[in-house]
Amino acid sequence: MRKRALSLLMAGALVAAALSGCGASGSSAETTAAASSETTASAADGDTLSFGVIAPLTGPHALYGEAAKNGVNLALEEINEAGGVKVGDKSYSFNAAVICDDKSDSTEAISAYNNCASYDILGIIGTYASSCTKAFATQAQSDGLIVITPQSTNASICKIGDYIFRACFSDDAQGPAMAEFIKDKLGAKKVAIIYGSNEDYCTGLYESISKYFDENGVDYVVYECNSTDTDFSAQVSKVVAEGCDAIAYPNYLDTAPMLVQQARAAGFTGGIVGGDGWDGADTSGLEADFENTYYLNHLDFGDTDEKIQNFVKTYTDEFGSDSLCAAAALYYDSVYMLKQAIEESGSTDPAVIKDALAAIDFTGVTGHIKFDENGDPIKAFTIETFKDGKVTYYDKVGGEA
Amino acid sequence: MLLFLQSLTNGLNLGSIYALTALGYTMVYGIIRMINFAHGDFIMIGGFTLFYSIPFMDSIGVPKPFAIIIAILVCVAVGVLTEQIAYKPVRGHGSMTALITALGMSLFLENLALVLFGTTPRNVPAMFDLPNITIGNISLQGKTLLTLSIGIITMLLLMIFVQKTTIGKAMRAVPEDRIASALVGINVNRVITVTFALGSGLAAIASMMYVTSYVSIKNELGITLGLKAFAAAILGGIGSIPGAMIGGLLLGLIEIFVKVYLFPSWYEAITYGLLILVLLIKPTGLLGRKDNEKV
Amino acid sequence: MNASYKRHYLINLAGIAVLFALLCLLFDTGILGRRTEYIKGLAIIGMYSIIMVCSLNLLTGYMGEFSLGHAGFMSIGAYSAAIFTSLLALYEISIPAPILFVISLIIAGAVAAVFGIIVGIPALRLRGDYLCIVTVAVAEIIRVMLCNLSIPAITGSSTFGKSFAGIPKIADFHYVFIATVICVTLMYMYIRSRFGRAVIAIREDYIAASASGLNVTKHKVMTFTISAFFAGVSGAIYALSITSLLPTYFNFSKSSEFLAMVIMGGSGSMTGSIVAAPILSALPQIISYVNADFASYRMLIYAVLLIVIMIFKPSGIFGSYEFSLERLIDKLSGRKNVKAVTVAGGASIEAPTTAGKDDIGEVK
Repeated sequence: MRKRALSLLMAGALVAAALSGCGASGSSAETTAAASSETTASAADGDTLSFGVIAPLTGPHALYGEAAKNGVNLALEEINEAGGVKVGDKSYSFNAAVICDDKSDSTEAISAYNNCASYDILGIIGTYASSCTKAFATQAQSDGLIVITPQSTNASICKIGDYIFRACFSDDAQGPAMAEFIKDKLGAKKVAIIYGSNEDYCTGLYESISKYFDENGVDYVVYECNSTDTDFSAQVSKVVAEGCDAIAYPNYLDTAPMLVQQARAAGFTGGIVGGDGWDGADTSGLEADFENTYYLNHLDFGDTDEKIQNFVKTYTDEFGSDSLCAAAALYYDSVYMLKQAIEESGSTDPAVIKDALAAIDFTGVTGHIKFDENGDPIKAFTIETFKDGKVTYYDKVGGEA
Repeated sequence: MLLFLQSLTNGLNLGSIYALTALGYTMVYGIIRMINFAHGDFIMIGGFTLFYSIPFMDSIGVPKPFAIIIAILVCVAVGVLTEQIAYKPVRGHGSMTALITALGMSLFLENLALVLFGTTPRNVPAMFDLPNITIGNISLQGKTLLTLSIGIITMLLLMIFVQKTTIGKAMRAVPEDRIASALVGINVNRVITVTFALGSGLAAIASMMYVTSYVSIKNELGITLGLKAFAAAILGGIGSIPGAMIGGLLLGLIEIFVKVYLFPSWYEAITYGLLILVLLIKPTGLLGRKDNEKV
Repeated sequence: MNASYKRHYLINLAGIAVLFALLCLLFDTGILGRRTEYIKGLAIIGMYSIIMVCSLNLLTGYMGEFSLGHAGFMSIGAYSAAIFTSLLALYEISIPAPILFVISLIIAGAVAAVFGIIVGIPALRLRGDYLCIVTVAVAEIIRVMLCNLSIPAITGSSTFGKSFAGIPKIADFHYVFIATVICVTLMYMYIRSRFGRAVIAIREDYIAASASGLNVTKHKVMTFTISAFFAGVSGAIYALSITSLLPTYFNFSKSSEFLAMVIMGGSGSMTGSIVAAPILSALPQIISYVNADFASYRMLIYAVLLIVIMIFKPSGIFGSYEFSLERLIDKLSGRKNVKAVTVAGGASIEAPTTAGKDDIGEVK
């Protein structure tokens, strides 16, 4: 008797959870904060223009998701306080119809996209992981929705179609920039590339780095690993045995500290260079090891540039400095870029806006952006290094000629 | 040649961590005939405990290595609690139930850590300040020697414990025949609790070696480590303490040598393939005893 | 076919037709407005989960063997379907969508079944804990294999490890529904056939079963293969609806999630799987709808539920109960002399207390 009651109770709990979700129509979905008074969706209805946001709010990259959400809300607050988006004679308030969580999982990203697309939106700003963006970009292209991905760097994304843009540099450009830095600034004669062969991002960077080295006659060796590996002793032993004087490690922040520590312990003293995936790496306890390591980033928050400092100040005033990272600035810039494109196109039709976007000349917190024929921005790279374990600005390369 | 010797030391380092973990698995399986899927997660908990207790030790002026005491206490508490709350009620309901319960416990610990500590990996402050010895061109890290020696000493202590002490004898009697053990006055429940406590304590020590070698911890670190250590335990013969040691070292060496000389991106497949092979050819592993099935 | 069987199938067919009509009404007439695509997407996710969970139930519930690597077969099915359809697209061979859908599913299932046989024949000599570890090992090997292989002509890149995107999206809701119904029916029929009964006998007491003349290994391998086949079909539907694949998606955590769904629904109850699968697979979206912060608690609650169920009701929420439309109608129409439709024997994880045997050999 007791068992039956218990199972009925559990069944009831599950059903209740399901139904309660379906019942609540849009009332508690994450919507934009601050200025806009309407809390539910429906863009271009009268006075509002809307877009959807997809970010990794939970999951392995939740750090970036938090920053993304804050960046979007900050931008919307500022835009709406300054009068909103002006199309022709009319002023619209700008609004994020919904902020969806993709949990850094491509299946969830598709559901998130479907969720966003069910609102009346011009397009989507999102997401972080290239595999997630790739998952929904094709659908967005055929649905005629603009996609601005703030941080997915995989080279193939913008090639999907003319509605797809990005606010960050592409791996096709980041790889050669890394390679050029290693060759010229570090003066390396023999480079070891250690990359995770099971990830889009790592493999894409490896391909463009090795291509650059091939074209410029730099000697290099390649060691594969898994992006989830913790033990790199095999690879670093080989690096030392081969006598390489630089390591390119285009993987993510969670394994960067381990690689650096093990490389130094194996006696490697050369430069170690990473890509933008390193942003946010934990260096505590390894300050000495992180000397002579560098990584490419979208911007440096210590930069004295006025735009950057303004952003840092307003962001930390409202959200504190814990979640401040490149993601915040990139999502912030994406919102502003969309606004500028809408205003320059004089229309609320995505088909027209996308053309204005393709021709845009935009300067944001993360730098100056102009798009090439694929929808990839031609942008500068900031090179960061570590002093006493703290991220410090080192150099800037690239950008529009 | 140099690379070969260097790989040897690397393999032994990795292997010792697998071996320490495998010891915990094998102990629990040997006595209770249950795969404790949550063992890897005990190590993760040990790691997080160290993350907090090492700075704490620093702040009260105690030498850092004493943080391991706190880690051991926490892990033993978690282990015993797990056993009392989750495993004891399902004892005797068949191995399927036990397996699923263990899986549930593992998921629980992983997600508890997720909720408490977030998903961002953290670096654990260094516990030991050991010098690196360089013989010729090979760098032998002090850490490697420490891991290896702790592993061997633990194994020897464990073997002495199981062979010579009364409760050790009780621990050997229970899997042979539980009813008879109870009949001769062995408190089976207490034996099982002690086994879990020991296994979790070993997990704490394994976690200490893990964070010394691989600074970074996150809530998922138990999954892969647990799987591989379990493979090591089976390789060496599950239920056999020296077997776990040998299985762990062997697995570490194989992994490193495959990575260095063969196919770096296939090393996991080869490790698991080896496991399957062993299970098919000699399920009792290298040092295991043949368990005959009575009809 | 005797009269009662005919009646039985007719009633069930009618019931499913009604359900289908309702759902089509819901989706095709646009009552849901802009939310249609979104909810359709969730429905499709629910449906391939149903197939997956039912196939795992076949193995775990009815055969009593643990498989923690089922996501591996799903991934094989997914990649087979993806490669097949992409190859066709590459060579610009065009086949009408419904036929392409069916062929892809069959190919995917077949490839997964082949893997099932390859794994099953050696592995099924082991039992219990050892078999469980072998399934995990196999799934990991499959994952590594998929991470490192590639067909550059299709993916245009060096490995599948990079996400395989741009798969033609031919899994329309209607096709998926029909496919799901067919798959579940086939599995149900298997259970109720003499093969299924043999499998249940093996689960209950394999020594007695083999002493009675059943070829234990043959039945086990057959069930394993069929289970792998449907897992492959589920994977194919996944690939053709999500259109983007990543080998690391089908990992140990995914397998354990599916196993949790089987257990919660009730191992040994098809009804349980059919009810639990869509609810639990749509749960992440539902939770983030209600409150995004709860997402991290979802797995925690699963884990607690799993442990609680194991302690108090090991046979799951539905136990071995099977819903029967016929029984319901008979009860409602007050018909006396209701002949209970044979209910497929459920699994009891709770081994019979006194005569139970430890799987590794000690008689209690």
